[in-house]
Amino acid sequence: MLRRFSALVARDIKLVVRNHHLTIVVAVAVLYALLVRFLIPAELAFEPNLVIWDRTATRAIATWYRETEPGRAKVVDSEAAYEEALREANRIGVKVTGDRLPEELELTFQGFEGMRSRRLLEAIFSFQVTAMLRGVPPGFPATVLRPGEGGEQPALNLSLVPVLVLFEAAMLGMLLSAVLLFGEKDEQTLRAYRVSPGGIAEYLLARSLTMSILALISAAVLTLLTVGPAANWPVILAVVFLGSMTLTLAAMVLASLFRNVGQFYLPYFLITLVLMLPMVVYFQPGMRLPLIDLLPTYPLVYALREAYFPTGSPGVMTGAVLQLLATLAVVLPLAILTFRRQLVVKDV
Amino acid sequence: MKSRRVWSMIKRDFASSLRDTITLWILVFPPLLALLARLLVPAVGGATVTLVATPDLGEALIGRLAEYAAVEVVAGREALNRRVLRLDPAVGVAREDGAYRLILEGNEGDQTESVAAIILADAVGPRAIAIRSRDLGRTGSPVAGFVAVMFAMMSLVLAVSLISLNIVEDKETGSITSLAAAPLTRWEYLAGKGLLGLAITLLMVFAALYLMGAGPFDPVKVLVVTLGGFVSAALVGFYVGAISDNQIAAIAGLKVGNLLFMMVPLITLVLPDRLEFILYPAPTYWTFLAYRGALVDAAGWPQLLRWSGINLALSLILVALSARFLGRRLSLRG
Repeated sequence: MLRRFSALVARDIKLVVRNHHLTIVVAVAVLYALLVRFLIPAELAFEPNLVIWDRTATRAIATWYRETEPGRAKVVDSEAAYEEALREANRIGVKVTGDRLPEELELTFQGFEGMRSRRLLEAIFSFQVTAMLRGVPPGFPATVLRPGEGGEQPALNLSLVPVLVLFEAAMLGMLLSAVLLFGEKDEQTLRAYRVSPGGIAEYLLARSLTMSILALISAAVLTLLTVGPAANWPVILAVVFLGSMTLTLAAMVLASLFRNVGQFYLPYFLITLVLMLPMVVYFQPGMRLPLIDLLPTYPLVYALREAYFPTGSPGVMTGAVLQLLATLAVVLPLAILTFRRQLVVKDV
Repeated sequence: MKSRRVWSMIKRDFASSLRDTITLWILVFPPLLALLARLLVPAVGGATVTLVATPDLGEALIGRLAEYAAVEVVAGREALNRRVLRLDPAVGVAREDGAYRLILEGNEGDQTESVAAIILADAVGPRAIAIRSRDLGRTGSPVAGFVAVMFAMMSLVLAVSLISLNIVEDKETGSITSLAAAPLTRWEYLAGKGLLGLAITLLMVFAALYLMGAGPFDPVKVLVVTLGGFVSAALVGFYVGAISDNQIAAIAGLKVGNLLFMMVPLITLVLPDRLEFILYPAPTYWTFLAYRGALVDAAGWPQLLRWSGINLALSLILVALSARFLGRRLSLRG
């Protein structure tokens, strides 16, 4: 059985290498690494999105913004300049009125801002004015459930690494495995395989293993060239391996429902978009999307972040590995069942 | 080049796509994209922080907190701790001995705790200053605009993929050599593939934009930008089709082709202005600028025509440089 399995893996690897996929995977990983190291900045340069017109005698708010957040606020001195600055779509106006000290703020929104963003901005201004007037900002005691945690936030370019590893390494086998399947359907290889002693599970696991080997190579190249050799390799490789196995099997289930790549491509594209949603949440931590934590890519991206930039929460990685194993435990039997139904029973 | 023969080529490919239910997917795809956008845009625009509360905070306070942030109400303190310890950064709000307290995991980002404290302070206490709001009444959210731009770029990527897979399928099934017997030149063959790809792109771009509620935008501007951007997209599709003898190889080619298409816009978003010149030779950079101008920044015609013109010029230079290679690799006579 082991020999059959090795032969299947070796055959898939040959196919992948012969069609230049290995070369392209390594080249793309190097390209991503170059982008991360040399092109993407460590910090985003923000355009000023607050326009402040402070009409008080002390100009306390304008001065505070000018001194503490010069890049975020544009301070103006006249109504004409204020209205002109607000023509830009991303800007929010803050008109401060009062005699000596600020007594009233008028916030000017563009119109498309959400209610929560508006209320939060009001709260931030109230907080800052309170701090300015009373000297001490309002605060609350905090209980930290896992004290001593909290690593430094990574620079913007490096914070992309977990996302790139997820997208490039863990998800790369989805399309390729499907294309190999369609090739085998066309060439009747599957029919020939069915009369051999090899089982469906062996076939699926061999294909997933091949894709996972490619994923590991891609992740290793990208990691070495970006964060360097001092990374949490066991976790990174384990998470990428499990993620790739799970996603490849899921893609094989989907592919078995279609006749050719043309039919498969659009549903695949759509599913890839959905699987990428956790990456949006990764960059917008306050964002909530229904059922997103059920996607296999959700624990993946957080586990990768923890592996690359540890905050001292090994639970994140354990949880992710367990969730991936649970997903794998569902996807593998589902894939076997679907294959038996779609390919064997229908004699494809 | 005879338009009748190009039209026959389009009809043939269209019939093939009908048979393969690709057309059905193309019709279903924009509404699904729009659904995704409708889910995504308010979520991105309204993202502040996630708060976790227990019912003992009182309905009134929970309601006030929900004006600022997503609030999840859980049964008790233990459930609150469990929720805070989950993967995403959520902050618990509890009342102990009559005082409010924030419950943190310990690994939240710098701003999460301070934003939660600011929200709680505003929700429970009187404000130090009167705050009123004014609204300029604009409706086109930049987030929605950017999602629209990315969806338009994705439609071009799909066109690239469909064109190339279509050519490779012709090679694999031997149709390309059968066509050699017909009075069809290779350029008519490519024009047929390209025009069908263009029709699919336009259908997907406009359906996705209208269904997701992107706007306000000028459809003529979007049309011009799409036409400018499509030339380079089709060229990538032809290249991948030309160099790939089978679908496995085509997927390898598409990986690089699609990367060129989607990476350039993403890099443009984060690249400092002073380094943007690096992207000038890439037609997709100009496609992205033009889509952003048409869908986000309400750019005027002169600017849009300049961007689309540069895009088209660069793409045509690439077409001229590639013509010989494509002609040789996509010869109908094998």
